Amino acid sequence: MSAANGNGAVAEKETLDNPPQVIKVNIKRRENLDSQQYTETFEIPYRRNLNIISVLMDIRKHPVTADGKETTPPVWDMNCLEQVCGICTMVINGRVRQSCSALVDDILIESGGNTIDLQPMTKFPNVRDLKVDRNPMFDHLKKVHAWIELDGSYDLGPGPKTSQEVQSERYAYSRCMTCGCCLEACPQYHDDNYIGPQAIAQVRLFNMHPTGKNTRDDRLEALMDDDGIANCGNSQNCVQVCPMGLPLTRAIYETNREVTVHGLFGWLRK
Amino acid sequence: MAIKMSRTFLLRKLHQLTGIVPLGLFFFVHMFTNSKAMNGEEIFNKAVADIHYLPFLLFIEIFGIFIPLLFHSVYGIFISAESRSNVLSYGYGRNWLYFFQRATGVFLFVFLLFHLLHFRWGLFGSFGLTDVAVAGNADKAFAIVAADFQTVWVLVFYILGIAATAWHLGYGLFLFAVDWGLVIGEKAQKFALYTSAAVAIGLFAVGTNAAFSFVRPCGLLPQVLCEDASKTKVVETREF
Amino acid sequence: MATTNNGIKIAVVGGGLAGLAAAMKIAEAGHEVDLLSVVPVKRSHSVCAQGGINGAVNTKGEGDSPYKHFDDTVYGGDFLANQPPVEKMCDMAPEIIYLFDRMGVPFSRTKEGLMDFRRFGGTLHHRTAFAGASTGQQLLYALDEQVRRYESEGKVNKYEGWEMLSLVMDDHQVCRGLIAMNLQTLELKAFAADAVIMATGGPGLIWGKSTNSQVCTGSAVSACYQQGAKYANGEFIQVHPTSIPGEDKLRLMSESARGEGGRVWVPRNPGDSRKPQDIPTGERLYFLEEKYPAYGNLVPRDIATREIFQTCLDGYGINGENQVYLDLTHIPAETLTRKLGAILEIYEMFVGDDPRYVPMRIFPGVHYSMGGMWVDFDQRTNVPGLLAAGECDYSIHGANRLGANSLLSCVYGGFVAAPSAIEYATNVERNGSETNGIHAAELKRQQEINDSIIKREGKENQYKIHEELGKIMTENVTVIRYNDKLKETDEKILELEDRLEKASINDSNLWATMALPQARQLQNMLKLARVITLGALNRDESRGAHYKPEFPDRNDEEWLKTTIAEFSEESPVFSYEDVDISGIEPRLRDYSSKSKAAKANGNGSESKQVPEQGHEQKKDDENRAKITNEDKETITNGESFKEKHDQ
Repeated sequence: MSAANGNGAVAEKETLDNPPQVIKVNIKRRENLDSQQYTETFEIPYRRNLNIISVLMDIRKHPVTADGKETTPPVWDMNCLEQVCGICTMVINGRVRQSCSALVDDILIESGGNTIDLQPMTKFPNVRDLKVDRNPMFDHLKKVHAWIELDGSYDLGPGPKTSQEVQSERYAYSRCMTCGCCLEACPQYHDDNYIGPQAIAQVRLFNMHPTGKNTRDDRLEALMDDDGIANCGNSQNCVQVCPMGLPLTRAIYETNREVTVHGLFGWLRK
Repeated sequence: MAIKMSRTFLLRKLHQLTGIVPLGLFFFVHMFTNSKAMNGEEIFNKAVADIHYLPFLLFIEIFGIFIPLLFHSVYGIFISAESRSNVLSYGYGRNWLYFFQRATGVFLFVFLLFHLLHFRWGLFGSFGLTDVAVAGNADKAFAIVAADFQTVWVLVFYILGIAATAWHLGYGLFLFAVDWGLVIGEKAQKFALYTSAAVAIGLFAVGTNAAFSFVRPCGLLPQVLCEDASKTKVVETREF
Repeated sequence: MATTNNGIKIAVVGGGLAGLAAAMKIAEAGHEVDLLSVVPVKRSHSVCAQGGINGAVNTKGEGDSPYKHFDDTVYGGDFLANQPPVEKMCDMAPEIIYLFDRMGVPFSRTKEGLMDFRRFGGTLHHRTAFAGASTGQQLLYALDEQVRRYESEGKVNKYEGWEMLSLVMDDHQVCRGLIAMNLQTLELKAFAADAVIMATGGPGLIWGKSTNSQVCTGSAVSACYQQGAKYANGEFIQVHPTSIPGEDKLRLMSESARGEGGRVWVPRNPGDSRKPQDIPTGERLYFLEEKYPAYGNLVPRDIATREIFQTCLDGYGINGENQVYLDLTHIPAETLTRKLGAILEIYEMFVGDDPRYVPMRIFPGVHYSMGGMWVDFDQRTNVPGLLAAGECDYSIHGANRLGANSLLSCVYGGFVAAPSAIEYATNVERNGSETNGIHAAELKRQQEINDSIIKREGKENQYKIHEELGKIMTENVTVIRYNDKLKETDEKILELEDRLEKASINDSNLWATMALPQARQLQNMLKLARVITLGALNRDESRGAHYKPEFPDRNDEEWLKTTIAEFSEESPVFSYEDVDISGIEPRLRDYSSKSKAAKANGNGSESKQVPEQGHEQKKDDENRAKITNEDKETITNGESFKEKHDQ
């Protein structure tokens, strides 16, 4: 379908030329936190422009499995549907991502079939069906003091001057939406044993800020804890799966340097 | 204010460090020494003997090799056990490297155990291998290795061992560089990775060639590159 | 349950920008806060705001001032807003922006390292501070961080994953707290509070698909309304001309696509099913360019919205659907990438087509509610002890909101509501007999409602009912409004209310179910939909976002009034309140030239054009002469042509 425009340039994007009549959706389900996981298969007619959220909405409307069994509607989290709130993250065909920006056409082109596997993120408590509890991530932010220590929110004039370079690097880290893709894909992270790239990037975000620097050591020492930065195994999956394109390995390695200097050589300054 | 750091943090840093110094350094020396076998039995045996007469040898062996090695390998096994590798779902190159680092580590644990028990203490006589340890028998060193390398699986096992060590160390250099914050940005990472790969390949080539030197003079290299020990016999063979 | 010691406790409902702003201020003042949010606060709808936040900091030597900002806002809102709070907000704006700067928001910078400001719709000044294209996200995170800091100090109790169901009112109709439901366990809990601040955002989900997030149901606000809180100006709903229709929601397509030369068209032959690239130019209907030769595709936002809407109503939509093409393919791909890269990526991410080579399909989308809970100038509702801030209150934007003013109004609302709530809570009589047992009683009442919904049986499907509500609201209560259609819509809503009684929630597993909360939200949405629809039906004029072809002119004599709806079982009761125009006297909105739009800036005492004759007042340039009388009027009501950044 690619069209030539005035310049003779052609869109290279692949399109699903022979879409299947129906899409099979395998959903890993769980009734509650303590129950066993099981899989149910649903079939929905193919339409153009479906994303995973609209597939789930379709199933929710008439929760009947492919073999005609009436079942409970699947439960999942969703909110902004624009890939900025991070809530609808799940594992789709084995890969963690946001379900709002997961287009059915693209998934089918990639897999070459008509089946889509949906499962909850595996590294967090599975509340029900595709819904997980990502509170540990917010606790990590508390642990590393991911904030500026403000004297007060009253009028004290403008903030410190910041160069465009520092601003643009900080902006990149500041786009983290706490979706958990990095932790899900991290082979080092399980049972909340490692604070993970998300929190480390936030440490970097605040340690780069002229005011945030004042409390830099508190954050570094939080990262020197048992679940700290030293647990990074450099698989670099985080930076690959991050939907917001955060330079996560840069954040980790910059912080490694700070932590090394502070932690290992700091005593030489005593 | 005191600097707070956890046991995990210290152990990881120590693990990263011991991999480079002394273990990495030792491996360089080891491969260099082995390569002396290219020039024949006597040169090699002399090299082994020279090691035997190093001052503070026992001290070096215990604190420079055995303890770091024990720590690095045991803690390494612990780190590997902690890992939940997912290369099948996320088959990115670096993720495979992450997996290989742990796989080679575990393999090396087995290999080095064998290597030490065999050549250091000669405990594999019942497997049809020489039951005389290289250590303490410098005059027989070349002969022992050459004899054992006639057994194909031993040679293959050693080649694999050298390959695994070379890669583990080479990529370990990269890991050390990023873990200690020496290398940070994407470009620098790429450069460090290529450098590490070059080191690994170099070590593997040198090591493999050394191994083959026990089977064939000058190993895999054309013999013109090696001194003919019989022609330039300047070395006295010691009496033990 | 009651507050311990003599300390006061304030409940904040909603963890978006307004709610967090209020929570931060209350915690900072040393008082205890319960902060409730349906989703983790960091995932609130505020993250979706892209463009920026307005504040007349005047760093560009343009002579900008808070007064000019005030004037632009009031004028842009077609004079329906009470002016004192607008003026106060604009005065506070620079201070608010500086505060966020101190909090570490990575605002875009100048070479010198100062904050950079850009121009936005409805103004001539560089007044909008921005952080890349995700200012809302950045501001929300900054407040989230500060509130987390107070949370870690034990000053804020966060209840994430809790949905407010109702207020707890005492016998004197004073708000004494609220009832909320844990969305995982369905447990109900009474939150006793000396004051409650509502900061729950907009009601976009009433239209089914909108640019709003899934939590923007307006449900909690509707619950307050049903318990006696007044709802004001409900009929004023901003519809954005270019959004990307999706199966699940509408996503914004920035106006900069048209600014850079994008052309809007549909196939001349309504049945034409060819791919857009295969339709020759001669068979394309560039309806904006044909109808408005002078302005073409860059007609003001509301005109574009109306025309696209009308074209689809007339059956010209692509393949009969509610979609038109927004075409950029005549512009070199490399130029597009350079100028519009980020926004084109959004389209590609969610539609799958590359807009550099395939025309985009767009349609207007419900975007923002100017209306909301009635509040006084201190953000207090008519219910003692109940306050509101942010999109859920009506106070700032009048009949139409200017871009980049919403983030500001949210923060402003929270900053005013907090001290106001503290003052009220400090003085309110407490621990009297009137609060005895009221929390338990309300809890029981809510539990009974839950039980009755769970027991409901019938063939109706609540998701289907929601779809039908969304469909008819989108058709009749958005861009172009006819009284007969509005009446029809109200009847339909009543029918849907009846049918909802016969809808089973269809989920036998109540643990973390989405069905029960959704059923309750839908019930509340239907109530609010009536307020909006009937408010629109009553208002026989055109003003800001409210447009009736039968009454195309603004009518200040009869309708320079705030609509106020109060709940009764039968149907909402409407009353009207005069607008406080103490600062700037109303004049006709006209963006045809800089001098007209921006006049009155400076001292505000210049002679005002009183629009007793509406559209006859313009002394037009020659381009205008070509436009029909009716078109003139619509342009008059429009916004700037050059709104390049949307929010």
